[in-house]
Amino acid sequence: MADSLLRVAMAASSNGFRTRLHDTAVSGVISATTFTGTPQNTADYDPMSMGTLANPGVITVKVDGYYVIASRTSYLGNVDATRMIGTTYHNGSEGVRGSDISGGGASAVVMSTCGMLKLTNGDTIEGVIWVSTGGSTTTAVSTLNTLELAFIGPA
Amino acid sequence: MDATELSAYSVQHNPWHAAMYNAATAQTMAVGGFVQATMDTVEFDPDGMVSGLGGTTAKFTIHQPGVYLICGAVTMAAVADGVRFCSAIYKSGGELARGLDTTPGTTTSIVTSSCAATTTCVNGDTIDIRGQNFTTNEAVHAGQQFVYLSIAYLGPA
Repeated sequence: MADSLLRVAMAASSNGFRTRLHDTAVSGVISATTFTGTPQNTADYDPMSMGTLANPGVITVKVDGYYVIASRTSYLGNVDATRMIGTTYHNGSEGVRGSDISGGGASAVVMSTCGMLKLTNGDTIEGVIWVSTGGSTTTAVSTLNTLELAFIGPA
Repeated sequence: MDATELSAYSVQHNPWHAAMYNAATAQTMAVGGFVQATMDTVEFDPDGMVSGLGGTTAKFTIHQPGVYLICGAVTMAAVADGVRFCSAIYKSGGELARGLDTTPGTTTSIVTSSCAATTTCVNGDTIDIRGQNFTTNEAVHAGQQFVYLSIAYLGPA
């Protein structure tokens, strides 16, 4: 097997380029009409230390390649006629939009996003929420605010 | 190259992933059944799975049997209060998975419905994404992050 092919196969088969973060305690403040990053304070797995536990939580890619990305963000303050967007930022701009909806009554809301992107070393991924009216918080429940990324293959 | 090497190559360095989106092509989805979303741009497609760009036949065609992850979304530009809209991933002409099925509770608004699924595919299967309007014809809100479809091979079936 050619050296380059062997390196690709070994790197891919033993790669640790996968990260999952979630939030259990930090309650992120969401301002109206402002794209706001989702906090993350716990790593489920992060063998290559790509995740930054902060408000907002961020994953920074360390190797070029194709990746599956997923995020989940919640909003406590939903009232009737509030527009809400759940999306994923790639290097500070929208990469994949998951949901763009409006409430038909007062209720909590969770929106999720799943997509695939071609990323390069140093690229960042972040879960983001936007609401049209009112300020509120994320819900700080581990299943409701998550940020995930997994390497599919080399670019 | 022996069988083990070939397997390692095909599984770990597989080219069977692709992504496409609608950057700027106008489309109106008629009320009624599901309408296939127009795509006009390839984001990545190393194995040539994409066809039908620029019209309402944009799709992926499977070249390698296996299990695949599929993610996509359709966005409408202006859905009125109380009007239902949804998206779905289609496999070989049949609905595979329903995405967000929602009815806005506000005045006319942009609506994004996304969908993700895994499925087993065989050679020649096709994958596309569609939207359905239940009350009126609606215009699509084009953009890379608004109307997209991506697929990735996960492993042998």
